[in-house]
Amino acid sequence: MCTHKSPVIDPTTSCKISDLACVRRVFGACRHVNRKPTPPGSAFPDRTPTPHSRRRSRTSCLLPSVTMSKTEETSGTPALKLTYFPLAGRGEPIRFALHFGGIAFEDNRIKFPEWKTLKPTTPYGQVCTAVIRRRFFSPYTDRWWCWGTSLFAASTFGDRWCDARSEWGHAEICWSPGWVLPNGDFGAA
Amino acid sequence: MLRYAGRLGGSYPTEISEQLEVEKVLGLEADLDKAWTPLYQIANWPQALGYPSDFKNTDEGKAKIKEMREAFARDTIPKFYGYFTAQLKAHAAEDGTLQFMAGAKPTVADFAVVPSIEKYTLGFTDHVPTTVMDPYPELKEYIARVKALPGIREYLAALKK
Repeated sequence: MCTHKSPVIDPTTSCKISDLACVRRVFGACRHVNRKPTPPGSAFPDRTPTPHSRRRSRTSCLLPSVTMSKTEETSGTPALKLTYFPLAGRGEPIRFALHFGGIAFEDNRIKFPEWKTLKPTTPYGQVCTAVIRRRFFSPYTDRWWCWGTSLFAASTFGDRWCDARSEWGHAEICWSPGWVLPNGDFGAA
Repeated sequence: MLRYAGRLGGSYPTEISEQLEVEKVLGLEADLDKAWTPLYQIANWPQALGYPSDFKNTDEGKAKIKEMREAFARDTIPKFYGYFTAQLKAHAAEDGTLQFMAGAKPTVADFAVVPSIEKYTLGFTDHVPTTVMDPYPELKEYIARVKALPGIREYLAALKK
């Protein structure tokens, strides 16, 4: 079900989503134009997947027909790993958001002595970093956003988004690393 | 990354007008943090501000840090606490009950603001009195409200153990 508020989407016109929530439109893969009408007697549009041959490009194969694995259903390790110091700082809001949303994640709290060796291996020399180990289902945002998530990660970070072997397969952010001194020490505020 | 986590977990709105409200608060929170940063740096990374690295151990450094941070507690914090209180009141329910920063539902704006404003009351920012939030009971209640949200409550309880 589309997260956009319009209850009816006219299949004969172009995408009516005007806000940035439409990730697919941003990536040129919006399928609203092809959305099937709601079958008689049903409250929801027909969700039968579009045949492969009718999709616009290979990239849109990322979208519909892949089986979404619910976090931790297929594997013991959460799909998401967040690395930050064992303090509030810049990591706590992200932890709040994930806990509030019921998103399982590995809360990797690094100790300050570890930081010196870890720092050179991070993409931007700072934390927080997040690793997305595989695409996953978000109970709060339904499949539509799940696809968006996959698209986002894939387009930003190439194919590494699903590569569990790559320690920093996916990393975003960052806030000013003001918490940590250039030599890797941490001083009390 | 916070916005990403919010989108995953349903705490970043999809409506553009609601996003604006969230972004406004996130920007205000960033301003507060930006105002604090030099006061952190002058003690812990004085080279960034053109002072020698042992500045905080000199008499001059001790006096300077104290002076700057006391001014921050006296002027800057009340200004921002006032802004956040006004934002809460602007989104109060019809009966006047205060809710969250961007309306009736918690958003990433709340998750960013709470640790940020609470930091100065926890006693690890030297020369900032832990009583700095006492004149803002609305904010104290608000922090308690956010920390009691499902998921966050369990997380914080587990953290204390």
